[in-house]
Amino acid sequence: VKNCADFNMYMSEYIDDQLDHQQRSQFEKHLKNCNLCKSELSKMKLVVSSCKDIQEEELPEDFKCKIHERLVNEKERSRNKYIKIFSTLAAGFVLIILLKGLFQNMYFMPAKSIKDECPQMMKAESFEESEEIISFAGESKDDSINDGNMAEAKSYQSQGHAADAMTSDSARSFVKRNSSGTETNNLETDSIRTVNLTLEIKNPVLENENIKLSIINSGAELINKEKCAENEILLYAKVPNQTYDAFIMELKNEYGTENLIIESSDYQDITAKKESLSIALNSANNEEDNTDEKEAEKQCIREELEKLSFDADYTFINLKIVEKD
Amino acid sequence: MRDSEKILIKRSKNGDIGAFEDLIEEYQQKVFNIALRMLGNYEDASDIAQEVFIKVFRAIKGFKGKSSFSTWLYRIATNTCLDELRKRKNKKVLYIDEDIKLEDSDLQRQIEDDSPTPDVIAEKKEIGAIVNEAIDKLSDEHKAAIILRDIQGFSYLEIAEILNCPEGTVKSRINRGRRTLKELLENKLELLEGYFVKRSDKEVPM
Repeated sequence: VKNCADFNMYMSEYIDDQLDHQQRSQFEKHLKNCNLCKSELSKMKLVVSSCKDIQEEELPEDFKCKIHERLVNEKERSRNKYIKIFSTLAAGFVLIILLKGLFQNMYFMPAKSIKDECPQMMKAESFEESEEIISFAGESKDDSINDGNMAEAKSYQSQGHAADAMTSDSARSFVKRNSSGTETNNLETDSIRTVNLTLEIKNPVLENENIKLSIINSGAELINKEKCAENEILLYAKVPNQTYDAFIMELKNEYGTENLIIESSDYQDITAKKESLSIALNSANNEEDNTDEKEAEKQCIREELEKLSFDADYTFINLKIVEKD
Repeated sequence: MRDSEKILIKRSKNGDIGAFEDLIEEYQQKVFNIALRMLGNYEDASDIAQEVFIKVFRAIKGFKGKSSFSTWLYRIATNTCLDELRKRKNKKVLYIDEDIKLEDSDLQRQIEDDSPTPDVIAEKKEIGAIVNEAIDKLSDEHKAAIILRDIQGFSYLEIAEILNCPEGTVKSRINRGRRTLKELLENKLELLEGYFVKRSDKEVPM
């Protein structure tokens, strides 16, 4: 700080105590010797105090209300945007499939329905070893789609095996409950029930779509994709525990009591898993460091816990549809 | 960043409106007041402050946590106000008329304000109006710096982050802004001084 111009430049920093020790003492030295700067500084201080004295205003009364309204609109809008994008993509995709199918049918082969193709496709290998997937819509006329889903088929395979390897004990207990006619829903909520059903009908492949419809109509939800083998179809569904009985009744009414066989049911105990997750969550909560990763990990555990409790409200159905002799 | 704030941010990213409202609760008044001082009238400030929070809601998915949430939010608020001021300059004629009307409604609110010592409050309001009027005449950049520093009380470093510029620039904007204010208020300084002297007699000194 050599002159009045310098003094003017550092005035604000002096008021806000931003100068280092040396600058400060130089500033104060000039202040002592220059009356003009002294008066300028006091004016500046007055201006700063006047600004600080300006009162905070309260929010307008309807402010939070208006924000809420706009947030809801905003969320709605962005959801619609995604639906729009998704449906456009889906429409495009369907169009491509249709055109491709049309093209192939016109030039390379006569129109052929899936019902004829499916058994042929399966002949090469048995149901156990290779399970091809038909796209969920069941309308695919395109072999390339099946190729694309091979990887997924592998993961479903393990599920199929698990169903086969049911212990006879649990099967018996279920049958007993069932035959007594007082099958109840007071399942322990800490287990997830999977039931293996077999349905015998005349022409499984032909009836495939109808069965899916009646499953949905009986209050169940189809999950995963079905597997299709020679005259055999495996459908996966889940049904809320409360409506499980009604679901079984519906199927029996539709296809005849003797044709629906309840093979086995499996209870996967999730108490231990829930407990270990809760412990993990607690210990994560108690830790001092709160890094982003830790937070993400905790969120994962919470979500897994939620999913477990959610799944426990459902009975999972593996429905095997076989040809009746 | 606080733990609870992190959780609220995470939930807001998933579109949870309730969590988002909890998250912004403590910032609403400050953002509204920044907008009020930047734009000079109540109705515009309310609109723009709402706009700020909608922008934040839209953008929160991309918030990485490089700066604190509050700094990020105040940056959006300040930029939105500066944009609005820029827009206004292009259609200034429209606003002259409106400003007068809105100042009246501001005055109306000030009169309705009930406080224990009406005369001191009235004088305080009058002083506030004079200072606000002067602040309104500053350039947009200086105005933002002065509002953040002298009205809202942010530190130099915080202001540098909010305005996304070096601290040196903040220092010079604050100093130049204050000097301009000093010149604008030159003939009102006695009034201000009288007020502060009187107030220090009546109230606990600052």
